[in-house]
Amino acid sequence: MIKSVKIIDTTLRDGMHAVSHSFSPENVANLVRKLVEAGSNIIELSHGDGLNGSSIQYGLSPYNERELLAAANKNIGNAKLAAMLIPGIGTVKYLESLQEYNIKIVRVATHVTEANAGEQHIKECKKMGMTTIGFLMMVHMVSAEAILEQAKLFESYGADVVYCADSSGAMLPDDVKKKIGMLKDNLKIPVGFHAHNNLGLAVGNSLAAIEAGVDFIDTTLRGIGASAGNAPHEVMAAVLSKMGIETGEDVNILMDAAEDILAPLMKRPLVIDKYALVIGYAGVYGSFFLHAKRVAEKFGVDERELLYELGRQKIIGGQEDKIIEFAYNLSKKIGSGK
Amino acid sequence: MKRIKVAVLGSGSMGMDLMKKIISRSKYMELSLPIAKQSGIEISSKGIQTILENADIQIIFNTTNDTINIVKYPQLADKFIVNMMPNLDDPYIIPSVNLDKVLENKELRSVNLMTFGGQAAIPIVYAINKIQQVEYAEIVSTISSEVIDNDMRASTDEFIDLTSQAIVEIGGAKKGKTISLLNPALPPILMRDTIYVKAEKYDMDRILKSVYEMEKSMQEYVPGYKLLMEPMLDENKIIIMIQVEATGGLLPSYAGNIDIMTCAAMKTGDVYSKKLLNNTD
Repeated sequence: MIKSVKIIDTTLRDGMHAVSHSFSPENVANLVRKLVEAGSNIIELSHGDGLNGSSIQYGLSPYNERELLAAANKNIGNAKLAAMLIPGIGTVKYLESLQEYNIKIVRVATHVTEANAGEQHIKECKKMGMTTIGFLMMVHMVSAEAILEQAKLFESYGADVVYCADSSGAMLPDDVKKKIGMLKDNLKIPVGFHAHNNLGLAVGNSLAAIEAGVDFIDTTLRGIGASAGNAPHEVMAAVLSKMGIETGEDVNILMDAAEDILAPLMKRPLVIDKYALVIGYAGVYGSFFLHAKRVAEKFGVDERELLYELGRQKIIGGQEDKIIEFAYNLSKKIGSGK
Repeated sequence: MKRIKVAVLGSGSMGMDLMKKIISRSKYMELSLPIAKQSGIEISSKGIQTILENADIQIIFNTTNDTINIVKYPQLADKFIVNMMPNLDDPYIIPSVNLDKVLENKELRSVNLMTFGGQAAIPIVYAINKIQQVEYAEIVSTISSEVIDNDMRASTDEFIDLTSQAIVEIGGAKKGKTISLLNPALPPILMRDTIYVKAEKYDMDRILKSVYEMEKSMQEYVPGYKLLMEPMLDENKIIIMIQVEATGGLLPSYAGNIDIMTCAAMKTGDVYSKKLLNNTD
């Protein structure tokens, strides 16, 4: 009998992808305050691609990250502030410079096959006294055994939690159960799951993970997040409440947070449109979505063709520049056909 | 023809490749180490001791993690050291950008080749900066997971910080950022750098000319270096994509990161050696 599950709200990190990383310090303050009021325990904030992710490659944020962290820290109350750190994008030195904002939890995120890229970061974060989560991205791409191998590496570096992220929203519930189950059976540390909604399965997959014994799940208000978004926080809270699973959160306040504070900030409706579905169906990195749309338009090529090609070539998160290269090549093919 | 005797410290893939390149391609250098039979190249495992005992050696290429300079080893005061792992003390050399200038200092005893990302991408920043002050340059370096060992993974942060610093100090940009990506796709992908450059205005004709000239300069010592597409102006920034394919030597094609370092070392050694030989004539 599953008694409780811990929820990490990542509206202010994954949600950044959906607003081109433009949440303001005021937005942050209002959202954090309401989430804390709702009983949210862990709130993640950073650029969509982790601390110091603001770049031409991933999208420039109009605000200084320190201002956003300051706004969160000011309103965090008893909840814990978390931040994502991607080796190769954010550095330990940069994280050290953020001490005054009281980041308590760091999610060191790597591609599912590259856990050892995060070794130094996990060890340094542990030295700084932070709770560290080893976050494996694009887990749909490899087998449960392969995921376990990488998770064990994170565990060996001292990670406090290991997460599986379905970055493309490409997984099916049985796959989730199998992979989470594999980790729960073989790791000593708690396990988390991060769902995306490209196949309409964010809530369902999160429930499958819970059934398999997962300790943590990720949610965002209104499900705001990369491409088709995440498991909606207020919806998960309602579902878990109906199931008698304790989260410590107030469904009604979460509903208000989503409706009154988050919804007005959304730049576009969160639907599983053609492109989001292609991302889930082809298994492509979710945050490619907006980039691919813009680039395809510029080169006069079909966005879907572009995304299928990225999926075929197994292009992973971080390779946004490939979108430009493939679109360019596609446009040349079309041009030479004339 | 007289050649300058050199030694390579370190027996990893970078050291082995550099030795092979010196033997097969160098115009002015001669490797001063015994060659073992037909099976390949044997490196003296006594390392620096051997070098110290050999007064003939005038250049040392150091591929190990320990920095070598005359502060640590005063006996090396008459030798020239090329440190191939990043350090903060030696002047950075990017042959196509500042080699001649740095070597003007006759007192200089050691130099550093910084990072492979910097070697590949900063020349482009420099080429654009010659025409128009670069306000901001961002390098996205991608290499195959296959070529990066645990030591390199541990120094990702250092790679980012040093390369970003060099974008400013050597490239001339006002501000620089570096992103370092590993790609696990198989077959292994070739080394790629994407460079984004922001400036106040863009005289694309002159900029393109400068960039293409720099591509030629790079190809003189890094044969596998090339632009992947014509640099383009997109929404107030220039996007350049380059690729480094490892050619010759012992390296697989996707080890461009090692190749560009050994090529830069070779070029540095050859230019320095030529100067030495001219001076003794």
